[in-house]
Amino acid sequence: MKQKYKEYVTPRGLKVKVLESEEIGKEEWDRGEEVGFTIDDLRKLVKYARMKGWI
Amino acid sequence: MAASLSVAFNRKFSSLDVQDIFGFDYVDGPVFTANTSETLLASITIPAGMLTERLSIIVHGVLKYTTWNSYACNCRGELKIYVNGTEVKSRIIGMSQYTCGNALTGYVGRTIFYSTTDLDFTSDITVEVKGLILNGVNQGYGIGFDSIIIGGK
Repeated sequence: MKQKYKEYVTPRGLKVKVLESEEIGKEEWDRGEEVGFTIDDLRKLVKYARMKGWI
Repeated sequence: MAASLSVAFNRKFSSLDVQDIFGFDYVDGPVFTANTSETLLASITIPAGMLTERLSIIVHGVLKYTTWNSYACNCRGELKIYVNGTEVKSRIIGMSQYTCGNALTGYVGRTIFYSTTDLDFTSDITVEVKGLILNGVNQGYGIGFDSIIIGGK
């Protein structure tokens, strides 16, 4: 099956190409259901990566 | 000083959350595939010279499953990270036996880290995230990610 992609250039100039042909999970995601990963989890991940000097 | 080059793909987090809290660029997501062959989920090209000594990649991978009976308990997928066309890291994500049940939908998340200084930073750097389903017997499963953070110095 041919895949479709969206392409962006971010404000910092990164060129990004993202798969858009499959919508699996987006409805639940939009409703905020069944997803364990939260903004606080992302915050912890970023804190850890910064502590390690990775980002 | 660390350069902030990060990108987050996530529908649950708003672009303002991502930009205000973390200072990241934001791209809508999440991104999943149900293919059983390796499928490109995202490609990010970092222009030459934006980094000078280190590239770091953090992917929060997600396996989405929907169970209809106990056969779905072994649903597994794999995520792979490529840098300039070479596979540098992979991780299998599988659902727990404890999550078996009828018509149960959920997610299993795993974080994948990769960091390197062994690159030519004077040329463009391409990071790709690919995924495939290794085993899944019901509709509604998928392998993908909700966030990718690209950083470095």
